[in-house]
Order: sequence, then structure tokens, then C-alpha cells
Amino acid sequence: MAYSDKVMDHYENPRNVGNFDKEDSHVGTGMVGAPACGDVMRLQIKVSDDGVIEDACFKTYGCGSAIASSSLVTEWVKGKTLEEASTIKNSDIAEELALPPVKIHCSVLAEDAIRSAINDLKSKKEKVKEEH
Amino acid sequence: MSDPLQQNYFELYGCPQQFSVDSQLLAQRYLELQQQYHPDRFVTASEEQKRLSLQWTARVNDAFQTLKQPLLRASYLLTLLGYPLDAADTAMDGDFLLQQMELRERLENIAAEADPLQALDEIRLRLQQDEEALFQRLEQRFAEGSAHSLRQAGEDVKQMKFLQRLREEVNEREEQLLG
Repeated sequence: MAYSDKVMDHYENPRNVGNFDKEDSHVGTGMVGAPACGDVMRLQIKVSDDGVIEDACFKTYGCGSAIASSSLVTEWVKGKTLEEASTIKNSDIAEELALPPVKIHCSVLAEDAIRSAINDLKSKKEKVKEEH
Repeated sequence: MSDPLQQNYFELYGCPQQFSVDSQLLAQRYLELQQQYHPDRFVTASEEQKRLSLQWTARVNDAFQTLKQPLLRASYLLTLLGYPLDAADTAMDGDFLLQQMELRERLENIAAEADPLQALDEIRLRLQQDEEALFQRLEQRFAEGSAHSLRQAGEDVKQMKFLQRLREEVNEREEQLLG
């Protein structure tokens, strides 16, 4: 199957591959997996005290579309507030990357990953509040 | 003779509808069914019978492939029992995903290890242990059969897919290292 130019670009030059310290209170970690194909994705965000995403990174073990979807999302969320980032839809990702229907689940995975990272950060903050 | 197209795979093979199957019985029934429905036996039959015999043979084959592989069998059984897998569900046990991530990271950097082939064997052994544990858990859950157990069985099947995928990647990596 032929990948679109944008998928190839992200696949060959993935942006923001890496990891942040999971224990850092400013870091939210999203970890998701696609049972349909066995892809695993980790997406992390570093968030300032006023709720702006300053940095993001990912590591994905999966196909080109899954790598491109997560790479794109790390670019998109930078500079956004948590609320803005949570409105990113898998359809936006799929459209930007021109994903074919059989690869839509890769964009769903990336959307779920950013959600999961945001939730992780929120639950961390609530824990901190409870402890005080 | 009941119509194979109306029977589920377990019924077709005369196996109890459960996760454990007798693989010897399965193979034996496969041969019997193949003979019984083989298109050669319908050479002089009507066109409709010929067409049906092709469909029967295909069904006998599909059923065999599904019943003999634990992962496919478990998915199929869950569907029959009314708990089909939701392949779009990406939320999984966090610890499991973390382990999967770590194993894949190790595999990715395996060439840098002192003894890469030894390291591959370690991953493979670990996978085998995980698969055996999952397998036993699945047997218990299906035997138990409550709604809760069957939902948990769905999670087990999903995890098994990740293990299977990783095993394929380990094999590919080994070929690269040896090649």
C-alpha cells in the first residue's frame, strides 16, 4: 500500500521521538495499544503551571501510519492548552495525513494517546491536591 | 445430515463449545469432514449441489483454522457467547503496555547488547512464559463463564495479540542478526 507524502515525511523524519521523566509532576504520560494490530504508542507532554503544553514527545512501535500520527500530534499539541489539545480529533489527523480507511485506527490510537496523557497529568495534579 | 453452513464451528466439528479442544480429535474430524464434503464426491450431482459442496469445504477449512489456533478460537468463542472483542478499544492495562514498551525498546537496541542472540532468547523465553500464563488464565475464565470472566477473557485475548506480534518481531530481528 502506498503511503502519502506526509506519512512518509513523518515516518522518515519523525519529530520529537524520545521520553520525559514519568515521575515529573509536570509530565503527563499516555500509553495506548491497538489490539487490532499490536501497535504500542507512548505519548508524553510537559505542561507549565498555567496549563500550557511546552513540549511533547512520543515513541511508537507500529506501522508507518501509527508513527506518523503520533509524530504529527506531538507537533500539534505544542503551545496548546490542555483544553485545546483535548479537542484534537482523529479525523483531523487522518485528514492531514491522508490516511486510507484501513489505517484510520492509527489516528484513533494517537487521539487516545493524547487523551490518556492529559488524563494522567490531571490525575497527578489531583493527587497532589489531596496530599496538601 | 445437518447443514454445515447453519452450524457454528464447534457444532460442525462435534467439539464441546469451550476453550479447550482435543487437537487430535480436531485433526481427525477435519479429515472426515473434508472427505465428506469434497467436491470430487459431487461430480455427478446437480449444479447447486456442486456449488454447495464448495461452500461446505470452505467452511470446514475456516472452522479448522479458527479452532486450532488458541487466539482465533478464543475470539470466536467470545463472539458466540455474546462478548465480541472491541478492536477499536485502545485502553489497556497500563502495566501490561509498559512491559510491552520495554520489551520492544530492548528488541530495538538489541544489537548493542553484549550477546544479542542470547538477549533474543531471553525475550523469547519471557514471551513464552507470558503466553502460557495467559493461556491458563483464559482456560479458567472460559470455564468460569460469568459475564465478568468473559469480559476479562476479552482483555486476555487482546494481550495475546500483542505477544504474538512481538514474537513475530523477535523472529524478524533474529533473521536480521543472522543474515
